[in-house]
Amino acid sequence: MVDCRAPVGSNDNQLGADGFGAIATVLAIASNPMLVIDELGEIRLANPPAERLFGGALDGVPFASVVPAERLGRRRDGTEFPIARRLEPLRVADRTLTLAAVTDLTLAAADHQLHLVIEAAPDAIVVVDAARTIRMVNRKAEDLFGYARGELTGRPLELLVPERLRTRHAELVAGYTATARPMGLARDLYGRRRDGSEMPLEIGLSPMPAAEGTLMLAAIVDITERKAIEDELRRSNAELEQFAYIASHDLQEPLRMVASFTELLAQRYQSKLDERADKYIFFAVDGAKRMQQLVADLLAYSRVGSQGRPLAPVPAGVIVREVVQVLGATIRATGATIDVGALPTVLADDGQLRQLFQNLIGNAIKFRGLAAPVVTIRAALRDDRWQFDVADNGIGIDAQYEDRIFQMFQRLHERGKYDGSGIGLTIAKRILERHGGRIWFTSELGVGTTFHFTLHPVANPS
Amino acid sequence: MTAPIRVLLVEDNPGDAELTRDTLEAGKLVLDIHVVVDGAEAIDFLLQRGQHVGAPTPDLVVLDLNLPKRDGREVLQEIRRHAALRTTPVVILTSSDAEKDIAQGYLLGANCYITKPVDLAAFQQIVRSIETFWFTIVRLP
Repeated sequence: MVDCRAPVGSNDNQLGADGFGAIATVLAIASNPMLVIDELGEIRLANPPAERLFGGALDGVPFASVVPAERLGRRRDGTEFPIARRLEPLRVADRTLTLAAVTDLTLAAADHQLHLVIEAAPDAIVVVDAARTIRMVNRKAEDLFGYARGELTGRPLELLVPERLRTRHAELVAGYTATARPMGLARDLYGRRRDGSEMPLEIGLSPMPAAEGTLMLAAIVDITERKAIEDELRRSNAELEQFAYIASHDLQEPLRMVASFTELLAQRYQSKLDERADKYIFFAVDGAKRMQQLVADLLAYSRVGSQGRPLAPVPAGVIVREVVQVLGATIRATGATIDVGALPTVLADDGQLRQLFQNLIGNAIKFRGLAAPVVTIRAALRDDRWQFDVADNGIGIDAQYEDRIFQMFQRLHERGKYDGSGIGLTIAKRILERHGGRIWFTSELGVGTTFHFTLHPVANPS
Repeated sequence: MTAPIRVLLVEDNPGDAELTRDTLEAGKLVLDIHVVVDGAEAIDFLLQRGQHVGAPTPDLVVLDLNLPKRDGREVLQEIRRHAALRTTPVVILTSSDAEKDIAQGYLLGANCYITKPVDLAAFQQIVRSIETFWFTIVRLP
């Protein structure tokens, strides 16, 4: 009920003709958006907050065009926003007008939506303020930490941090709050459940501006299981690598005996026994030699991980020149052309980079077509990595073998046509994994193949 | 007829011992090859004691590094400690290609260090080179 007479005397808002002026005065000083609507539903009076809210002059505008529904406001430019409105009949002289008070609910709605989003988030979410007081938690956070939300809101965040880590945690949080930057994912963090037990967590922090200062929104994931799986994977990988190394290293010795003595047998007794014996000797020698190659390759592969050197700036151009020199005999024999563009200095293990180029250039020449091989080596900065392209005009690789080509001892051609055990690209891939890069290829059968790989640039010293 | 050249082969792997002996014997020179299978026996042989009392002093020692009982490094140290053996050429023939072993081998007084190749032909080539180099090219005291 609004009564513009002063002092207030009756319950019905009856005003004299000059009462309209009084209403205008009241509206002018009111800080909320207020409007007076006539019997035809047109706006007769709007205060400055109302004009600001709807974005323009409202005199004579049908009220229904700015408030088309009970909870909907529409600005003059057509955009809509949530509102609450209150209508009161207002008698001025003999007319019955309507006084409308409108409240903008945009912020409240956003707040409400934020609550809904946080509540529905797949991760546990804890919102804290600058004083590290918990302001909001979602259902997942209740489940994760074993507290009801009433036990958490208003309490210090330290409640959720293991005692042994509280000091460090406070420093960490202070650091992130001070810089107010979105922190990616912090590793090796731990949380404390209500029952005192601990769990490893992954926490993504993002600052959230709010009326009362910047809040920090922490999305929390329990990584107990993931950590266990990662540890297991790391352990089994290390074990496998160790196994490959020991197997290949220790197999070499007895294998050398088998190979040496079957060969000695061949040297001494070839064509001194019968034809069948010669054949047996041949198969024994051939098998032993092949196995020696496999074992040597396996050893080379396992050495990528176990005997690599730390990454340092390496000029790729120099490495490629060395490799081209090493491959000199092959290059001359096949009439190959190696076209090397300007190559950058990259972060690498020089021995492994040499091996990488040797494998790729070697392959480019080995799998040549009828024409003399032409190998083109280029590098370009893509995003924040150097991308190298080693292109050839060789026989090409059928796209269906895309997955197999990098697998160990996978060969696409029958033995005898091309030598090699199929370890080269596996080693190349392993080398790039160690360097934090990747390798892939594009190819067209009968036209050529380009191997692409990426390496980190040398960090800018600044 | 000149006296045969005496070679002491210290090798615990009978296969390698046989390959080395076989290759050396296939050469033109007349060699007297003795094989011992561990470091302790090698030292006994060189110092002519134990079961090797009266053993001949070798003209060349071909020494593996990884040996049972006392390894090749100890044998090498023992050889260089005795005046009578100090000038005897020692060739290390081992499967180890570790830089550390190579450096240590020379430091202890080896005359040359050779890594056993995996391939038979290369192995034979190397043994023949040892033979040619030490018995026909260099002059020994």
